[in-house]
Amino acid sequence: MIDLLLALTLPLVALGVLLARELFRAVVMFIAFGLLMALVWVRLQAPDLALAEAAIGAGLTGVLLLDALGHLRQPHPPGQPLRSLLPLLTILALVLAGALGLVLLGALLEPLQPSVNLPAEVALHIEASGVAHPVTAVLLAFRAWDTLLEVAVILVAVVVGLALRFSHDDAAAESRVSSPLLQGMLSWLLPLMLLVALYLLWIGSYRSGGAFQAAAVMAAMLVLLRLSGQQLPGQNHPLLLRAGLVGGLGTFLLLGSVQLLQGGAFLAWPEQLAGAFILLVETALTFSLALLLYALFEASPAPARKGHPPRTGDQPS
Amino acid sequence: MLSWLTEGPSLLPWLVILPLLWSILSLTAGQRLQPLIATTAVGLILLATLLVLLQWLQRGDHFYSLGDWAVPLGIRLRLDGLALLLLLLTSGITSVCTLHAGRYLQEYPRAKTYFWPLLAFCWAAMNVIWLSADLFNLYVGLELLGFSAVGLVALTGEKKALAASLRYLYAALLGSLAWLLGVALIYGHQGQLDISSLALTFTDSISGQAALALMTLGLLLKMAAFPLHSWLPPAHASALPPVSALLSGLVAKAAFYILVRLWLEMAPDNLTFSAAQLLGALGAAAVFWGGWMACRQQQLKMLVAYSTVAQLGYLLLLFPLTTGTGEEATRLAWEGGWLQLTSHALAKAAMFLAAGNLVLAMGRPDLPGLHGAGRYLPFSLLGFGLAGVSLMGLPPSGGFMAKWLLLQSALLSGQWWWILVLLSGSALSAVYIFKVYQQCYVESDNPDRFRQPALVLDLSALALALLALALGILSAWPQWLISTALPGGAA
Repeated sequence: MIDLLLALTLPLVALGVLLARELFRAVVMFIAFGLLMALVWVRLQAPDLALAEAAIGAGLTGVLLLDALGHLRQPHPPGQPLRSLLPLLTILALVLAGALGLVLLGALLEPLQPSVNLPAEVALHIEASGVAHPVTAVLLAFRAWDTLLEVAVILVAVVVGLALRFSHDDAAAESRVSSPLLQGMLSWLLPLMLLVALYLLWIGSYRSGGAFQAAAVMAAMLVLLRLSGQQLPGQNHPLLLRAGLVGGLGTFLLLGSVQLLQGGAFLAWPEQLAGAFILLVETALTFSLALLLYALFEASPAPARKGHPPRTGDQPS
Repeated sequence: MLSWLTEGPSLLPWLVILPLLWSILSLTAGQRLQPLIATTAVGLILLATLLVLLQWLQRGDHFYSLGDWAVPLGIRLRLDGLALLLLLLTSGITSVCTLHAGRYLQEYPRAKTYFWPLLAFCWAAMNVIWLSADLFNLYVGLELLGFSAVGLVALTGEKKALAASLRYLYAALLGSLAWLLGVALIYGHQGQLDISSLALTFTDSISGQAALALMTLGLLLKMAAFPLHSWLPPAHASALPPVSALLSGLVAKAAFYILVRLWLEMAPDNLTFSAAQLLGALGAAAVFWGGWMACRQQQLKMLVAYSTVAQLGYLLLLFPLTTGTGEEATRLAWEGGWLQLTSHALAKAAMFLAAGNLVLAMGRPDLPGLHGAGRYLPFSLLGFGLAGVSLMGLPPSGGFMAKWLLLQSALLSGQWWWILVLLSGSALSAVYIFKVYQQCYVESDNPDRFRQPALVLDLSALALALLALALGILSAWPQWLISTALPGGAA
């Protein structure tokens, strides 16, 4: 019953995101979509994905979208040349979506032909990975290469954000909410969030949880702090901030190279210490990813003030 | 030394570790240290590439299991002749671009801060893709490459560059998502991701067909194949010259490389005659449309960028010329196709660097701005012209050698229609390259605004152009290297 309800609501909300006339409404729908999606993952017994979806898909992305919306002061007039093409484009999109849906349905209905049983393989080798939770074992042992590069992807996204941030005038984004309710709530919410983040990090080795989920909670904490107008420690030390941003990738690279330098393979963890190494990497990743996710929020350019158009571009000197 | 090369640990992971370390260091170090870090890093990466080459010569194709986890559980890197060719090409072109950028960026103090880390990430991503043998790992590589390339385009912060990079981002993201959906379908159906293992078990199924279609679509979008090319010219034209050189020379080729691995290595039996002809037709359309649009451009860098669209089209001819044709025709097309990629990479990188120098010297980005350049700029023009020789496919350049091989393959397999494409494509390139030259030798009424570019800027363009030219004369070794990786061939 719940499943049926979810399966019906999800496409409707998705349509709502696409068809909403106001951007604000679309963003709110998008957040709702993320939360529903998280429920779907719970029903599919993928709590790791549910946690990540709720924290990153709905939470942080929602905050980023709302933040971006705040910078779009004047509503954009819809492009005139596109408007005449709109019915045509709509039909084209519907046809494409229908065709893709049919193909996916066909793929769903045909019998699977797995040539290897990977879950069984994972179960067979999990002992050697150093952790007890299969998802963590895949992410940080068997396919650590992918995880390492994914961390690099997030870092690149932040670096691009920072690069564009500094190509505008460096006026600090003054987006503080001064509400006594928020201040009051923060004093007991923040320690709780920190605790949840550390708990998620710690249980990652034997249950659902881990660096990405913990980092998302911690990033949300930083965003709340920033919104309440608090000074973050180390906020004005760009070098310290950057060291924090690259810390996760750096730790991952260095610890992954320990065996390499002794003639072993890259990303192989030392036999007795595999669990400890993975926990170390996860801890570094948690703090670094939290900072990275927060930096995505922080890097959004300050709204243009009247009479001070943002200076764009490098003028060749 | 010799025993170390044959028995010592493979150095493959260093080709990614070193650029990643470079980006980390350059993000944390101050401005003054950047040249030192960059020089050291480029030197070390070049050394690692050289050692990987020597290792390959000693032990041939080999795999490297990351973390010592065997396939299908783990991920492995794969080195064969093709991967090696692209590693060498990447190291060569990127280090010349680094040299050029070191001087050129002195004019752009703001862009400089984040240029180095993004360049290093881009380099790491390319090496990840050349070495990857795992479908999901390729997705991560494509994401890393896409984001760093978009960042490099946006770096100047100019309005035009921002708009172009946003469009580039949309195209790159859509392409990645299509690829990811395909990967999910294959993984759901077959239960594994390693390309060489999948090649053994890949069967005709709805999931498999749908996945191949989606992945191909994503890759065609990423390699700017006609008619999905319109994001490329503004992105490549509005970036800084060393960035344009890198994007046109190397980054655009990554999607093509994966496309070939996908079809000819993973699912060769699924590539039907008509599908291969369709891919070839898209390539032919790109050759004509890109060439025609290049002739019509008024901005120098837009012209060069449209020429990239045309030249990438030739690469797609590889599919019809290797599918269902004889053994000899397949071999010729295989060597010709990859030689075309190599020579275009060198020549286009050289041409973008030279075009950047011309614009810098004349102070104007449009073609009429070049009036009078012929008087002052023999060096920059020489680089541009030598690169043009290779693009037009005139002997003795690498471009000539590549088109010659493709031509022979088309003759041998009786597909005369591709010969028309090859010949008229070359004629079109001649038109737009001579158009630039003609503008340079129009006498100018205002001869005083000329600024001599630094010697290192001209030399880096010239070095790449000479390499593209020499590729035609010294094509024996690259051809042998390419032929060792012929799918289904005796390697």
